[in-house]
Amino acid sequence: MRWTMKLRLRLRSLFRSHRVEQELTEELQYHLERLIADRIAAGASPDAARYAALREMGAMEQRKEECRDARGLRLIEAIRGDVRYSVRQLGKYPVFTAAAVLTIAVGIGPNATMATIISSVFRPLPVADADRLAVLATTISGNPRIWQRVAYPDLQDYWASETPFSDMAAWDLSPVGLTVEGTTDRLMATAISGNYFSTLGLNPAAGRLILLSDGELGGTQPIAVLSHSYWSRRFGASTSIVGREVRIDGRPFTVVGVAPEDFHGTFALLSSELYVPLELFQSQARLSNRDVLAVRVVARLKSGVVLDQARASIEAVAKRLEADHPATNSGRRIRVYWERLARPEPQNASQAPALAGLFLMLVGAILLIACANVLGLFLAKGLGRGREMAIRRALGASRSDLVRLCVVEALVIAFVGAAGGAIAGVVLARTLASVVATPGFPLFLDFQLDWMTVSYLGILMVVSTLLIGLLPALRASRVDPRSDLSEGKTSTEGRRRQLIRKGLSAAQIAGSVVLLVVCGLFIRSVQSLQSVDLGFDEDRVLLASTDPGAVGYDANRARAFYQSVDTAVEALPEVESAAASAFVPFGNGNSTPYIAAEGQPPPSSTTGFLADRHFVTGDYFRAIGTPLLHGRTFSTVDTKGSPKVAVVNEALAVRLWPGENPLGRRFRSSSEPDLPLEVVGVVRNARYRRGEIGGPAVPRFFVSLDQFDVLARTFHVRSRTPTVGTLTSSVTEMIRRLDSAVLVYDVYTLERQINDSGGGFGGVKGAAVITGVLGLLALSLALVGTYGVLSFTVRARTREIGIRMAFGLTPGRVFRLLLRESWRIAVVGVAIGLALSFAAGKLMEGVLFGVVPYDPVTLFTVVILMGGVSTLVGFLPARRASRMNPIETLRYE
Amino acid sequence: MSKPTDLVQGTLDLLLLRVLSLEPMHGWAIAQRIRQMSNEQLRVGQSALYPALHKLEQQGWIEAEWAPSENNRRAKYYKLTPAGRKALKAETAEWERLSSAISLIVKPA
Repeated sequence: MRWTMKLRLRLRSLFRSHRVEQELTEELQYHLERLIADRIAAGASPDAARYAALREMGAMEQRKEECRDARGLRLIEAIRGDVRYSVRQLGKYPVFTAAAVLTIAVGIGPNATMATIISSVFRPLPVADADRLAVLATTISGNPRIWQRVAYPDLQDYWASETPFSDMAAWDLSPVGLTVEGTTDRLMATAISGNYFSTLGLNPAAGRLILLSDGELGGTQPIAVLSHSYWSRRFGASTSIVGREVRIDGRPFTVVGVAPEDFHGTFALLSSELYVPLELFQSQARLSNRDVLAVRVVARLKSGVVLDQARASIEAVAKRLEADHPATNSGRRIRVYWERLARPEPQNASQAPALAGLFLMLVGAILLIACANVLGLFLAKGLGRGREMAIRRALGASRSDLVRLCVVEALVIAFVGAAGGAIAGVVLARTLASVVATPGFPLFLDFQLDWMTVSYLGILMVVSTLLIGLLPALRASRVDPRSDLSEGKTSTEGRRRQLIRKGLSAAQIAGSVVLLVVCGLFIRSVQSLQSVDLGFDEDRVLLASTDPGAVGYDANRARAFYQSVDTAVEALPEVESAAASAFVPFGNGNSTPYIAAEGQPPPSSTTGFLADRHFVTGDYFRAIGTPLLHGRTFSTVDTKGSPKVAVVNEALAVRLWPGENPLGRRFRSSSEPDLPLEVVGVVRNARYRRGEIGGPAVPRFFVSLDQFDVLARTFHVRSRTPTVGTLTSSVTEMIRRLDSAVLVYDVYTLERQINDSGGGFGGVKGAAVITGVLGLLALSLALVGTYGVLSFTVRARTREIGIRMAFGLTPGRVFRLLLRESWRIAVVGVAIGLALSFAAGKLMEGVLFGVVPYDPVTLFTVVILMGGVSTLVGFLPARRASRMNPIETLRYE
Repeated sequence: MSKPTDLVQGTLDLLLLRVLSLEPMHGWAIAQRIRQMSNEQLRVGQSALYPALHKLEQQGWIEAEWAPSENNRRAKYYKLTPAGRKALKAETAEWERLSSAISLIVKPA
């Protein structure tokens, strides 16, 4: 309470100073009048009374000053004076001020963008006590992979055991079609257990949420909860939606309520628009199978429990489960992460924070470079200010007054620059959020300015203020009025000052070298990713996805629909071949069961190994360009009723039957353990996952879409012409013509899927672009800085050069002398920069592909580049110096 | 004229708090009251009085209000806040402890 009152008084003193002053005068005046009145009452004449009273009061102004001191006003007053003075002073040098403010803004801008992005990605969920939420993920000994899902029977056992969790909820994402009034929207739905919303501690915005009383897995009643954003967008936030019937994937559902505003589900980069019971979206067989990692888990840790405690108790249960269920759980462990750090998925928990740190450091380097530039400006200007400071000293300013003045001046620049940069940076982040799109993934980025970002930027502003203000301030405090005001003092500066300035530009160059090397490493990663032979031909292939199940097609109707689409698309003149597949290479969908050869025990985590399963049509291999090595592909003889067949890749064949002919052999997968698959063909190994690049191909098998019903499919259409642009509209139109209700989505090229998607090279490419932009920004700042230093050197050494020329130094030698100066700065900067890049490269090792952190091509290119630009930058000042007229320069001072 | 150093450091604060605990009053009245209560022994000059009052206000022990004075002019009246009341109690106790300790030494046995 008391400090708020004090603060109020201080603020009053600061902002209502005029009023406070007036009151002070009035108060003392009143005292004076009473003194006079007293004396008159005692018999003195009015004049004498007044005189005596005034004498007694002493100096009124001094009294006031003492009162101001008592109010803690002096410092505030002084700083206010400094601010006023600084603003006026800076206004007198508009070019200097604009340059400094702009440079700081350019330095702060990327920091604001990056901090906004990072803090948005790691922002706590808008739920009760978000900092107590954890996620569980599965690992299997001997496999470095982290699975983001947990087997549901395992989850039940963990939940029933003595663990420091107060709640554990299961969920998973499922794209669905929601039909209202004849129009269908494709939405991302979250299928949830009954305690999902209660675990998160959420309350409905309308109606009710799905409750534990509906069923442990959300129950079998077809009920749905809408997200607040979809509710507002689609239904105008009308509460009449509660109780309304909608169709989800063709099935009737009743909307029971609306989730709270700002809640977008528990997957960080997606916006979930719908919540439905898990039980209705996953089969009982899948959920009760301990060998299927079926659900994602969000859990709430009891308050006061640290993560290690939770990890230890989960570990104990995992060991018990391992003993109880050796067939499925041997080597299986559960990892526990804080929800905030495990985004978007637990497997990122080890990398994402480090990567965020790396990017913050890189943008931090930009700010340092910008600060160095402004400091350079200040120092150059400070040279002419020694006199001003000396006069101030002589007139009675204390050393601390001068230091304060310099710091306040820096603060004004930093404040204006930082505010401008921050606004621009945040706007840029929000623009990026609406522009950035990843193929096949409805990326949801909610970049908002939060207090974390604001305080981070505030700290950066203070740091920049100190960086650009402290050195000039210290210099000002050392001013000696006697020597600095004496006549004939020239303004040629000493060696040390020159050294500071050159050191600054060397540091700037070092910073930009680091950024350029990091960018180079990312570019090289993209290059090596793109140069890899993927085992298929990604050129000229258009992808187009449809999901007739979303509008209520059953398997038979869907099969007929696909057949007619297939025929119609293949009839298009520009189509070479067309095929369909349930999944796309480098896409998000996948199916990875355990497999084992027939004759072996049924496949499980202990008796089999993991293999990628793909559902394709017979033309798939021709369309995608993967050669069939032996046997045949699927044909019309493979129907729903005929024995199940498979085409396998070389890796799978070698793994199951090393050295033998795989054709005609049979194997089982854990997804359909009762249906053995006969191998009818072998295809060349191809790379469908980023993890496969640079390593061995994973075992992969293909089954026929005619034998297995998967309703959502992606057409792979190979064009005859190198551009697939015209195909886009004709394929889409063709499908629409067959049934306009069926949604066609994600229509783009396979090349784009590989190069730009999150599952493909999109992340590395994005990193290359970001660091590339930052690197160029840093380089241009550093070049401007170096150019400034060199021009300044030329000016400061005019007299010396003039004398040297008078003694016979040729213009050519002068030119080389100054160019060498530029090179010397560059060499020092590049050397330091390279050393730092090694450290940065080490930090990035996990996100690089096919390139070592000390990649010689990158380093060599950067060195050449820096050599070139430092020559360029040194050229102009050097030429100016070499063209000087010795007579004139000697007259200069 | 008494200077602030005439009084033991901090004692002036105690006197002001004590006087203001009687009723809200303005600077002039405070000075008069101290003189009167101390049998004309203590005289607080305005040079010490006003800075001390402003400091106490800044500390949150007293608060000020403008009100018409007895001679019908506007005057700044100070009054004790709850925090000031507490401070007065503490300061009084401290003063008593100190003065009795000093008396023990100074008084002949």
